[in-house]
Amino acid sequence: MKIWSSPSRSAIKLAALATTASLVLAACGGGSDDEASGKADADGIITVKLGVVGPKTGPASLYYEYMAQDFEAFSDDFEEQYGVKFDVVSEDDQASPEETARAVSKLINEEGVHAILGPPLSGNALQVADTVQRSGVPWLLAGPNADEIINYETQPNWAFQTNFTNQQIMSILGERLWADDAKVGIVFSGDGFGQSNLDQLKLWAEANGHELTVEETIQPGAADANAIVKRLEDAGVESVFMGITQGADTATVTRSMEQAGYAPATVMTTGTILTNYKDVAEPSQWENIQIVDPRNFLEGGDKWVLDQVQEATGDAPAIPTNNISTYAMLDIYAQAVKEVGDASDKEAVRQAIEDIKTVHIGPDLTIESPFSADDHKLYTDDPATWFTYGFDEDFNLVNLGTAAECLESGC
Amino acid sequence: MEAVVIGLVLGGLYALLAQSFVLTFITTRTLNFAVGEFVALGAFAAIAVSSWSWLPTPGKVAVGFLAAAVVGALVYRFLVLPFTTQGEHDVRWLLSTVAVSFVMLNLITNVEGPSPQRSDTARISGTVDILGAGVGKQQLVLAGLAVVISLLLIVVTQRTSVGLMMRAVSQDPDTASLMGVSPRAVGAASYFVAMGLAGLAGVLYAATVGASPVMGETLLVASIAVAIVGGLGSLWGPLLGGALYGVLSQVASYQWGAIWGETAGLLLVIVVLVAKPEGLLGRRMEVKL
Amino acid sequence: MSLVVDNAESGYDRAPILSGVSLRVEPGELVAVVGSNGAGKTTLVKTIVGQLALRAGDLADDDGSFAKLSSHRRAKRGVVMVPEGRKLFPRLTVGENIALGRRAAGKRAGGEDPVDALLDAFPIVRERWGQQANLLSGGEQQMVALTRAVAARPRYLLLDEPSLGLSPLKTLDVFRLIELIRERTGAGILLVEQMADQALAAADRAYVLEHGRIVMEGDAAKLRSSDEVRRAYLGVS
Ligand SMILES: Nc1ncnc2c1ncn2[C@@H]1O[C@H](COP(=O)(O)OP(=O)(O)OP(=O)(O)O)[C@@H](O)[C@H]1O
Ligand SMILES: [Mg+2]
Repeated sequence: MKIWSSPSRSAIKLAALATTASLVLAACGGGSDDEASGKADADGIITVKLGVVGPKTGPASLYYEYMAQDFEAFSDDFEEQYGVKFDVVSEDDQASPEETARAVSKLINEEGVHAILGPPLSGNALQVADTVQRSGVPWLLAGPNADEIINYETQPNWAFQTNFTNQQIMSILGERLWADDAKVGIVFSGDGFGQSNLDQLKLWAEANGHELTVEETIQPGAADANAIVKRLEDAGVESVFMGITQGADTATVTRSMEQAGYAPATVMTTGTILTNYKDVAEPSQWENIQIVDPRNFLEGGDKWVLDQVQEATGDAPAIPTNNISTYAMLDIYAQAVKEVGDASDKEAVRQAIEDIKTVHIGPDLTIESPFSADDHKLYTDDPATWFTYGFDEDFNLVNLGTAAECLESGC
Repeated sequence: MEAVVIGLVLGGLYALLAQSFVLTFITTRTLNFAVGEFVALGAFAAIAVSSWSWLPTPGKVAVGFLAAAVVGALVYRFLVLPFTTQGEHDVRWLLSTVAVSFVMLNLITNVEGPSPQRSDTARISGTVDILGAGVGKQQLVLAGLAVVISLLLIVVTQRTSVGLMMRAVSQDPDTASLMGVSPRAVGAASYFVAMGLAGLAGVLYAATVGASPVMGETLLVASIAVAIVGGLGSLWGPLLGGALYGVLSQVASYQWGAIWGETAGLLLVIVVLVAKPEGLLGRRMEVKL
Repeated sequence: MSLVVDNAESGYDRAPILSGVSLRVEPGELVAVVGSNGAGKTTLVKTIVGQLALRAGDLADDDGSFAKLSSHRRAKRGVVMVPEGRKLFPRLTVGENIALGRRAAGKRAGGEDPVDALLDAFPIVRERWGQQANLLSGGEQQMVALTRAVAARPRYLLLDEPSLGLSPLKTLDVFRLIELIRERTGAGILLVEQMADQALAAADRAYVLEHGRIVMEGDAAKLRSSDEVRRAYLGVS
């Protein structure tokens, strides 16, 4: 069973070739028409001016693409369902903190957007957290996992997270990794995401009386991870967690594991492995890997979102986890705007988000009242609501049971 | 021991790319800072023809070499040469090759997308055991190739008339042209071979890590370091530099963790630059009066 | 049939040096150019071989104008220079230096090799064959530089101060060698020299260059005996 087919590159290539010249000449920002008043027009449609920040260009551009895919696949749905239309004003952050700061300030001060979606990378989101919080614009964080982005001491708080957070996944994983008092090692990428993974895992370990035996960084694009693997092996690590942004770097680690003949009992990672991993790894290298995620990729609303993206764009979801969390976020925001009736009343919209009753993910998955004043996280860290996945020969996900079940009876 | 073996093997990959720097430096006194993108270009060119079943694997590898080589020669002619005309202190080529790097990176990303793509051309799976260390066969091939190509280049420059022309241009391009030798043609040929080697490295490296626009960029720092340690003026330099850099960075990674690997390698560069600025096997530049 | 410099102008970035220089060298002829330091002699030969750009005027050989060709193409046509200070490739051997000279010969190679005659006449070059060029004495280096130029089978040979820095004895050797080259190659030779007396004695015709202009020209023997030349260049008052 194949879930999402790889993107057809040839179509992209043609389009890209045709547009490359114009891209080079005109560094373009997303256009916006002035109809986006935030209030209902004659037909009762509210057009929202939504600022979107992400790496449109450069090596991390998949982290912009998933947002674009969601707008392409679902814009009409939201207009139909809630009477809310998104007028997207996009800015390229080139995955750099400086550009992110520039982009965000432009969207807020010059464009006067009603809300901001992005940036998708934790490190860059951290960089602009204060700015956005101070300017009083609903901040839709569908990508980043770092807990540190939201400081609940500032109230009212403007940021909302629809991806799971690192603190949550660590509490799920911690139990698994340290089961039977195993020695645990982490390999994390040298970026905001990896660092946050490390910090949260250490926090959890400390709080639960455990100790992390080995901590190793992998630099993006590293040629090999032999030394890292060797150090894990020498320290007698039996449970390995990989908190790595790029699947390709995860592949480097598992390749070195295979080379060294190192097969720890438990190898856990995150949904980032769904991107960029499979094409550069071999089945023997992913045999043992498991991931945990609060989303059910194989059935129900989460799967529906991914299928819709594939159907509407003709490409595989760029970052499957984030395609889903973006859908959830747009659903929440559209509902809130509908309820307030005016997107420019940002304070009211913020409150409406915080008070949201039912979040819809696709036609048949709902999450009830996820938020409160000091909890702006869509998911919880209840192991019964998280899934554990393994991979088959063709790298299709296999549902091994909930995290709670795996803790109880092993997976 | 394990660290030493793996360091030597890894050093081979860097040595191959360092050889591109040395080659262009010897004949033109320029370095192409876009070498990383030529690595990617070679890899993607091989992928582009991977479905041509009539073309045997060596042919596909050759396509990777040639694509990078031809673009390399053109880059020299139109984007390096025009920026070296003001004499020895003219370093505008530095800016122009960095610009080439940016443009190529963006072009490749626009056409191929940012994600790594699988490349099966010249893919050799499996591991061999060398003195107790597990070494990927693919990496071993790359390292072996670096040695063979370096020796080949050395033989060519020392024993053939083409090599004689290269050495003459290297020592004194003006006088070489009095002998009917065109320094520009020799320069273009060097860029052809040097970028071809980068493309070749790209094809083989992509079989392990996949082809992506940034695949070469991450090798760049280490390769320049290797070239500097060995000496930019010596074709033996990359072999010695690659071995030293590879072993030192692996041993440091094994001992103190991965981030110390690169740091140790760069410290080596600093030590060499202080003690022997021309590189371990380099020759002190004669000062021309 | 001759090397022709017609109304040539050239110089450096902000300094025009040569203006309206015209001269001619016939095959088999030895033509001297004399002039004081800084007169523009080196500038002249560099312009002829294309190391300096010609700003106006024309350059031609038996096959027509070559003013637009790059340096290495002029060498391949047979316009060959021995630069001031020899400019051997320091880390190539004597043999390799001479082998490089042959690269310019192209189609003109073949027939009796004049290099052999030179090596027979001055066996020291052959003895040093495998030695690195920068380890030779100045005199030996000049012999090698001349041999290298002959290996290019020149049709016109430009020599820029071949006696520079040599002892009187070695200078004699160099002049003997030049004579031999003329005999064996039949090339037209343009000889730029400080040793004006010796150069004028060896040459058929001569030009006097001052401040980038030709101020006198004619039969070498006549110039050598003219009062002006004697006073200005031969140190006779
Ligand atoms: N590279 C240069 N840039 C600027 N001016 C130069 C350069 N080389 C020479 N000149 C000037 O050009 C003039 C002619 O120089 P040139 O070398 O042709 O003289 P020359 O007749 O060969 O002298 P000499 O007998 O000392 O070799 C001199 O005034 C000199 O200062
Ligand atoms: Mg001179």
